[in-house]
Amino acid sequence: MRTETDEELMNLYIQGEVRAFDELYARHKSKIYGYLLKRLSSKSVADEVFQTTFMKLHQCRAQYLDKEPFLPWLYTIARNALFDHLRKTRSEKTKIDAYQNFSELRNSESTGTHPNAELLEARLAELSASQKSLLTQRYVEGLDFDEIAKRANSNPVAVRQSLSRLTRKLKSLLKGSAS
Amino acid sequence: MNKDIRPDYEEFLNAASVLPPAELSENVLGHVHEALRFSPTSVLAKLGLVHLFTSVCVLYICPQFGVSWGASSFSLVDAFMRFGHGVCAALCGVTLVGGTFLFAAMALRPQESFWLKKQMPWIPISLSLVTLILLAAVGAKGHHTEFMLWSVFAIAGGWMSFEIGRKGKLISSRFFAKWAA
Repeated sequence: MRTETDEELMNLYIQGEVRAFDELYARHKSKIYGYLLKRLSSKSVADEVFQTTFMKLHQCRAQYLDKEPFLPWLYTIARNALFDHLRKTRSEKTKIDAYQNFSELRNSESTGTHPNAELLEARLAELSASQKSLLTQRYVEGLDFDEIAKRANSNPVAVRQSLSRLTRKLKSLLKGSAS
Repeated sequence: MNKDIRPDYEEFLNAASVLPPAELSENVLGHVHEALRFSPTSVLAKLGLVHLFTSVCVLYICPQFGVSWGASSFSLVDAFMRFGHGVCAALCGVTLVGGTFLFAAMALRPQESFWLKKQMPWIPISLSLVTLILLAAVGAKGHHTEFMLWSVFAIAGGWMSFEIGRKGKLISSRFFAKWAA
């Protein structure tokens, strides 16, 4: 066990002393892991975020300011890693939900069983050519936002927002009609 | 710390400590150790190359005991000799070996510099001796007092330049990391 403070160890680690990292890791691994386990439902996900946290600590070590309290700094890295993961999974979930909704819609349309098929058809007809093209590229051709943006000379964020607005509008319309 | 995340930080501090699986710890430590791994031999080889480069540059403008390289119109000898032979020899030692260690501190990776720091003062002592032997082999001429002064100041200058270079690199890397973020 070493006697240096976390801040002194961090400075040694920045200077290239690998043993200083080992000591910092030994001191804080349990706290970080406990926090992540509490925040995440799955152990395997907590493992992944835990590993990401320490990889980020290694990558960003040069950004650590001299004498800055170490523990809040490490906590911020863990929290950012956690939130990045949550954002990523939420975005994946949204994409999957939207795709499933649209697929269900199209399948029921083709078999003529969806109660709102006619209404949807009417609403789709009201959409502009560019909106229809957007939906087709995303849900029929399966392109990602970057690819669609490249085709439309736009940017991926604008494409994602437009698609999100469109799918929300169609969903609310169907819900309203069903009720 | 941002006021909004203060409660979450408190929660983090109060969270129960749970030991991560040994395999996970091995992964994390293995990754960092691998990223910081280096060979002392390669550090010495790099130092040798830097010294060769610095020697070529320095000998062009600052002849050492009469040994020079090329014929520059600018020479540090004129400036150094104003203070006498002893001071000139001391400043020549600082310029040559100090220059090498300053460049080395800039060129080496942090972990390599850290290893080199731990070898102080043996590395500048060895490098100064080798340099003196090589200079003597190619015809260096001087009094033994001058050789002694040259060696002492070369060692001290090398050590100090290395520390200055390391600190400078650390400050600049922190500045650029912050700027890039």
